[in-house]
Amino acid sequence: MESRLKKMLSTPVSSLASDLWSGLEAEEQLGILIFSLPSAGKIGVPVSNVDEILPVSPLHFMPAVPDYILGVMIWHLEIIAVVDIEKLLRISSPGDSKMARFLIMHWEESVFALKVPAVSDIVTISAGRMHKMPASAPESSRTHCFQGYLEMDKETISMLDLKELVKTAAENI
Amino acid sequence: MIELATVSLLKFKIPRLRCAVDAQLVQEIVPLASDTPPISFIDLADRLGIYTEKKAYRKLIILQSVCGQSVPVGVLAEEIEGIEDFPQTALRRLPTLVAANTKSPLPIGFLLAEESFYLLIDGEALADAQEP
Repeated sequence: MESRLKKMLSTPVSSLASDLWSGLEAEEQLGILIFSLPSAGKIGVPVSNVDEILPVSPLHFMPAVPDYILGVMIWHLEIIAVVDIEKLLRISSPGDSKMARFLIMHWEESVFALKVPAVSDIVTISAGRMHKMPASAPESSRTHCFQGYLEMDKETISMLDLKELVKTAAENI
Repeated sequence: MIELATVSLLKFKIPRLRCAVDAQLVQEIVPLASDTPPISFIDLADRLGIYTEKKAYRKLIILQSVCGQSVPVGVLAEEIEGIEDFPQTALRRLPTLVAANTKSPLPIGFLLAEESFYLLIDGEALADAQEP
């Protein structure tokens, strides 16, 4: 029997949807927020999925969750999970940096904070500059969270696949 | 006038956490002492995977079992903060990523009221979680 509190809370299950830039024309402009992971290079996410960039602040402890969920925070009266991207992607981290930020992001019904070591830049590029990940890329928890890349100023920016990221975070128990 | 649904919650402390449970399920709160009635205890902190040496349990919250056994169960608490009525709007569900990842069925949401932040515990699941 469902408890009274559970009924009051009635948690909906989020659905996951499609590609980041499918359906975009090559000349369409796309805002990209770039952040750096010291041991994995530069990573991009669509600005349209970023709601806010916040300095790192103390979190509320959340028990019985995997280590990549650092805790929960209150954001605009909602309680959201804070995910450490380095722990989720199993990338070793040199430790906390003063430049670390919380990116408040949304994907479908999921709103969450992504802790990143540093935000580098926000750029506008045409969708045609995006390349799909090569089919030869090795399958791992890290690579399947990226859906493509772009070359910029002799640097490669890997584009995070938010759909896969949320899916990985929800399944990676 | 629209009447908001309210819920009466018992607020209490366990190591590292402030929790709240449906007060309707609370039968009695007794001090933890040598003459505490013989009853099966649940260490909620242990059930939530919180391991700490610093446990200072002083109270026992006796919850009535709602289904199956009619035997009540005791939940260890460090401190009782009291029973208070809250509107439904003070309740928050677990974030999607937490709900999908939690290793325990006991946390079901949060109580968020002014400065208060409590983990809502499913008292019915807790009351029925005792070992046979």
